[in-house]
Amino acid sequence: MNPFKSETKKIGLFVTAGYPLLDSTTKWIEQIQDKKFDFIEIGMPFSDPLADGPVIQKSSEVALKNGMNMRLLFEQISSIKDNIQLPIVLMGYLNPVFQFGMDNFLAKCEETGIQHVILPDMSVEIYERFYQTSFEKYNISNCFLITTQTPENILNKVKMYSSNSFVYLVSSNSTTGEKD
Amino acid sequence: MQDEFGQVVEPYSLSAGLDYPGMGPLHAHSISTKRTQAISITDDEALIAVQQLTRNEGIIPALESAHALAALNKMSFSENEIVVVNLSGRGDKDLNIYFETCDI
Repeated sequence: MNPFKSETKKIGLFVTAGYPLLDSTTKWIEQIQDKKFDFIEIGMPFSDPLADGPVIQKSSEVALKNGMNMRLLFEQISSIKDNIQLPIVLMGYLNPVFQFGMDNFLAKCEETGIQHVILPDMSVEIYERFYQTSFEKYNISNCFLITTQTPENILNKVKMYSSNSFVYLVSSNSTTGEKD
Repeated sequence: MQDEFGQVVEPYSLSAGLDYPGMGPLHAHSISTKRTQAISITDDEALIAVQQLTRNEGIIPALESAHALAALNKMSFSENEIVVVNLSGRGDKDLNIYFETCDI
């Protein structure tokens, strides 16, 4: 099921994996099944979450202290995947994925029924040069980030690559979350 | 500098300029293709190099540059070989550390 194929508005919910407790994520997902959300975005915690503001930074820090890592997250998602209807979008940074192995990561996504990921520090150029073949092989879409400064040739590529997912429009030259 | 899961780990160095976990892609590439040999230097080895250059040449090197100088003690050269060391910074910014740690 791909929620991004229709043109109606969608509501997604973001949770950081492993916050506030190591096993919170799966419990959460199971509990919100019947609520009116269209997808769940799970944040894979990273030590240097450069696109995220203080709230998500803090949750990542706690999650890492709890012992969350990518292997464990896939195990957790795998254990509930037969009970969940809501599509899961995985959000995280390139370095942990790189260490895990991109092909390994995409294979695990496919295995657990995940079709969409957001890797904000993966540019279109890096995607095309190193990873596009693998993404296509496992049928996974990356949601690229665009800003008002994104040049038109990149915009056109993003439009093409994101036809099965959504585009992340960055509203300001800043991190996520409220500003003082 | 990272752990097995790709999380960045907290680095340590007496030198502020080296107390950083990142590495430039050019350096990483030239080391992995073996065009460059990387040598690690301890705080103590760098401080010895500071004193050697200061005493022998009258030049106070920055702590970062002292790491490059300290590598000379770990390499062997043939006679008449010309050796170039990039002295990337001045040591006057590090004088407080030198006063605390060196016998000057």
